[in-house]
Amino acid sequence: MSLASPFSHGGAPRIALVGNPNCGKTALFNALTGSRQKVANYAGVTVERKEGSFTTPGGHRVQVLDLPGTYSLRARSPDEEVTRDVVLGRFRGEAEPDLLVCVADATNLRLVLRLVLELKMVGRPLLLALNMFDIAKHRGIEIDVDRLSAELGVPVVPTVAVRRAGTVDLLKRIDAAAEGLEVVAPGTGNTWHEPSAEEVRATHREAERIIKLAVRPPTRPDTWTTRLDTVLLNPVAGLLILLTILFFMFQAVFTWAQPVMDGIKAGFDGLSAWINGTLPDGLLRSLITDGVIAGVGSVVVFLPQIVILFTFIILLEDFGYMPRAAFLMDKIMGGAGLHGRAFIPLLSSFACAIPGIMATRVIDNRRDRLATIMVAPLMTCSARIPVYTLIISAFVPDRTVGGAFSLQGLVMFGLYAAGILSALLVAFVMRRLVWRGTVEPFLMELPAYKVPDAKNLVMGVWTRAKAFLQRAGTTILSIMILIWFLSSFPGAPEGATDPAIDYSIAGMVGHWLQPLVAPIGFNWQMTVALIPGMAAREVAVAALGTVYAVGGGEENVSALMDTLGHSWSLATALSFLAWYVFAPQCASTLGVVRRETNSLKWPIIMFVYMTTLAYLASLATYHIAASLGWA
Amino acid sequence: MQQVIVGLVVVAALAWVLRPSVMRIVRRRRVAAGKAPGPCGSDNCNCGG
Repeated sequence: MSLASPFSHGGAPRIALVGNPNCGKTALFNALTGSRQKVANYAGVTVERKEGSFTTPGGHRVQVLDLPGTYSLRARSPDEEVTRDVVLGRFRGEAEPDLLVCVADATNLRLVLRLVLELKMVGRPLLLALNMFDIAKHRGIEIDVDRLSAELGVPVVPTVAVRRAGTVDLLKRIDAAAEGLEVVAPGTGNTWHEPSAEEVRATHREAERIIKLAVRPPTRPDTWTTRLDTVLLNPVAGLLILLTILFFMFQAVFTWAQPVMDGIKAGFDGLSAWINGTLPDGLLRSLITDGVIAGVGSVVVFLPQIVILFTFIILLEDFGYMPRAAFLMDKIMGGAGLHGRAFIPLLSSFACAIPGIMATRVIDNRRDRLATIMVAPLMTCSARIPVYTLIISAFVPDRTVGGAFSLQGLVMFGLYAAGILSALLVAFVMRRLVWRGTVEPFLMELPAYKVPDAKNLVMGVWTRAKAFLQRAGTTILSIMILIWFLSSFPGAPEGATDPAIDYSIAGMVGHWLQPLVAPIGFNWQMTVALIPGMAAREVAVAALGTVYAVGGGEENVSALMDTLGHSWSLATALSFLAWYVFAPQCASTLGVVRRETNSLKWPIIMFVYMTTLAYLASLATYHIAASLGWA
Repeated sequence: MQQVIVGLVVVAALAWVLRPSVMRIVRRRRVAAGKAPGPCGSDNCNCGG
């Protein structure tokens, strides 16, 4: 044991937050650093090291690392390897942490104590933060903190990270450690090694001994989670409830968002009318109304739907429902050849395929991981919402069916279901043709249900809404200005009879490429929209807004749906939807696949198979719809 | 005057769209010239790991 400051190397002291999955490491990281990293009530949210910094009350500037959750230093998956390597000082480019803060779920100490005993063997200064202490108390779990500390030989601090409770005490301990006033270093040097089966059993027995001494289980066990689980995890009732929740979610996305969408549309239309009345007719007015407002405005109107969708997702995450959904889907996913752990990455892909693909690091088997990466972009990401909503609003009547259900919501639900089914189907084919072999069994800890935290909900929704608006105000705005330029220049020659846009660069490119997409029912304006739509899917909506506005349509945001309704056939609209279910219209996703697989081969395979699927699906949709007289 | 403003706006938009690609090229050249460290794990990495 040492009384010397563990932070005496002169550089910025480094603290590493370690712990089991879903114990609140990221919540504590956010509480200490004021950061807003994603937190949720399930394992595997953090898959890479995150770094922040803060100043302690004692004036020490401290760097803090948030590490992926692990049950042991015997790493089994890429995310656990990151934690092991950082803790052991083997992570390339990363100095050894000066202090390990092991974060524990106070309601479930059995698993974490084994990790604490392993961490003690590393020989670094160590603190134990007993997180979710309030929930443990509420459930009647009595923890003798002093006894626990004495038995483990490390300081123990109770915390409630989501409410920042206990952080003051934790910071005091960190200060004390920095000044060498408190004994926190086991002082044995690193004696950790891959434990044998007998050593694992011995650690387990030691953890059990300490639990018996320091923790008294509740006299009346919590039956709330158990009772809910008997219904929610029932193979039949549970699946029906899951489907009902998803169904309700998409109904709400359509019906609740409408009034706010109408308000935003009216705002943009008013702005457009004001500019038309203020600026003289000319290039500048055309740029602002046809380029900026018609383009960017047609994407921003979908903000309410994004907000509603993420409100549902964050509420379900916080409540602890998502791992249950993974449990319910495990059999279906296993049948398709996907590992049970693929559920969380695929679920994350509903927001965006990029974090979803990164979340596949929780899957240890390379073939299972690759299969999940290859199908993740088929899940319906939030960037598809503006595309789907635009086409559905323009072509599907706004009426109820069965007395209560919105027909538009039903179609949206169908598109999400198409994404899920196609992902399962593609995985099934890949596992049968390319990566044969059995899928490994799935073990996942089911967290206790929790009342969602209002602050986490608001911050989570705000973060996503801000990201959406930032993208609209930067990337989409820039691309729309360029699309406007390409659609406006060069102008029509003297005596031209066709619309001016036909003579523009965009018009020429669109007409030139159109024969390629004519068999699937796309017109040249859609071709023009698909090219910038490679940057991000929702850009296609903005591009359609600009191309139709420059082409002589009305430049107000409300008019785009009417314009499409008049200039596209139903067969074309359905073909466009089918294209967007499958097409790899996102360059960033392909980039992240290259990074995660460390190879160009997989993004190329992904691009080819998804484009082929999209073309074939659109071709079939268009011709079936045409044969029904919808062309 | 309108043409000048519109021209500037279009050039600024083009610069914004091309910015990531340009930065990547500049970075690669600096790494190749030994003026900047390469990504962690590469031959030019000098993070000491």
